Amino acid sequence: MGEALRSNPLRLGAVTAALLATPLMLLVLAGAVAPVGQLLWRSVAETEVAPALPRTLRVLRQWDGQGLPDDMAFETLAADLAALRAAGPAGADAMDRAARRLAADRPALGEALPATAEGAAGTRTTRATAVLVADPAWGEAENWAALRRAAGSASSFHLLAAIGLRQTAKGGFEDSTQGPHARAALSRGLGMAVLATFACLILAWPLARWIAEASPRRATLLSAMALLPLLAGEAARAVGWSPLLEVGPLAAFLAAALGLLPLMALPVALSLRHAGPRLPRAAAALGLPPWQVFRRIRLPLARRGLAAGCILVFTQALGTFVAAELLAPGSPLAAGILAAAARAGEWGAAGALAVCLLLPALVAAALLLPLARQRTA
Amino acid sequence: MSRLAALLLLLLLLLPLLVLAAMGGTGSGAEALRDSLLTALPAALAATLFGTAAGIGLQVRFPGRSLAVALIALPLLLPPAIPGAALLLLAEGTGFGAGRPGTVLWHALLGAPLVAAITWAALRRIDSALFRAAAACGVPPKLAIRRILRPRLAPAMLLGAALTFALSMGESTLAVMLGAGTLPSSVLSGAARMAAWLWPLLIMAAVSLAVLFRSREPVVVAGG
Repeated sequence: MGEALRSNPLRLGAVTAALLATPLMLLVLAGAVAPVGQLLWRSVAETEVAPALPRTLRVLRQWDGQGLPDDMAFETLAADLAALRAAGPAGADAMDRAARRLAADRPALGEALPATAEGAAGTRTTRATAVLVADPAWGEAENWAALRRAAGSASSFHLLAAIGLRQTAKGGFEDSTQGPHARAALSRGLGMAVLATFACLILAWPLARWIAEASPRRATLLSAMALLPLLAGEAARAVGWSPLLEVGPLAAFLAAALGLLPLMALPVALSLRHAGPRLPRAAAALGLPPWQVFRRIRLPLARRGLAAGCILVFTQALGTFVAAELLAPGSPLAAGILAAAARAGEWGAAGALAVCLLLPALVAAALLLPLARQRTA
Repeated sequence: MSRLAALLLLLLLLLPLLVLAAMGGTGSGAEALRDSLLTALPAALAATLFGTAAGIGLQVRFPGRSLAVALIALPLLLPPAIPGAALLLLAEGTGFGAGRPGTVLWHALLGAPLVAAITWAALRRIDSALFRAAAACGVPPKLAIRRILRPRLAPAMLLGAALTFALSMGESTLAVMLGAGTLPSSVLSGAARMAAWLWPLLIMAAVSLAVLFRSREPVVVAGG
């Protein structure tokens, strides 16, 4: 891009130019950066339990984490739950949300909250015993630890859960209830993206060469045909592949990955066309065998296009789930679980998965973008 | 040999669309088509407006230009499920972001960098000597801009708009997540199959014809 900037046919000043680019920048900031940032923040933020059980939280802060907390904690828990009951539908809503969040960590707590709210209210014994009687889950230190962690302002719970782990009361790590399932989905999503990138890398080359070496008219035609499956969309491709292959990962992969091929083929074709036929022809004329011509001449010439294509295919493949939902419903991808969590309003899980998908995308961009630059590295 | 491989690959790429065409539609999908058009047209318009301005502005090296390029290209580099979830979160908080408005916004953000790149490439080809020659001939600057710029800028803007339109008609991930009711969602449920392959075909055919039959060099794909 260096030499292009020397041309400024409109003689625009720097300020005018910046002002022209600003509206789009603002739109991206407002429509992409801010919302995604908020989603990523929700992966560590804890919003459900603290509003519901504020007094319990304050007491638990003094707890040292060994054994069970003292009676004060039980009493404030009962008091908080009573307050929620008294608050009518809003209180019931808050209790429901807190219960769901706690259940995601320790399933027993999901029923423990409402059961304790019911049970503790009706007894006359001291609050502490009443709570224990209402639900034996309160006799386990692990549950109190989970409650304390969830009642803070931020925690690593969702991030850990996304990779299938949870933190124990003692601070160690263990598999969460959904552990293997979560990790399987994540590895499937990542694996699919890597596989798709490699597949496109290999398959796109002949097509890219054809487009690069064809006359401008034919190249336009070929490019349009190659773009067709991409523009038709993943849903159309998935439905189109469904009668041809049985339901399963292969069909989902083909529907998702093959459509991304123009994202690889066109940048590579552009690079090759830009480089021109002289160098490979000269090399061949000088006696270099075809494989060497490919390896030492064409491939480096296509470096920018290959890098750009890899980034595009990889990031798109990471975030796609429509084909997998249709053609391989038994093996959900990480992106599919993200979508389901978002639809259900579980922002902690959605945010954590977003972090897990964004990290590989960032790594890929960091590795590949320098290769896509103008100057040779 | 390599040509044969490329041809087979191209056929493989087009195979699902041919199957879709052979399957025939179960419903007319008119409502989905209408929703798709109501999404794609505003998105293409917005993308063209914002993208052309950016494409013109990015000609000049100004402080922060690299940041601008990175920001503008960002939507293309995000794994699609992430902005979908982010917009749903935004909708929960502010009421805006789900359904058609959110989808229009995101499709515009996807198309704008394309328009910017295409217009940038088109402007880059203009020889500054043309403007100097026009000034030397005594042409007022505004007329020079109109005569030199417009014939090159207009096709670029149209191509960008058409690509954004086509992209928006087929974009599946966000449309499904945000519930925009566009063609991809109804294709999944079985209706509107014909529209799903017909529209991209028509658009690409129109774009190709337009590009092929221009007297000048084609704008992006086949140029140097």
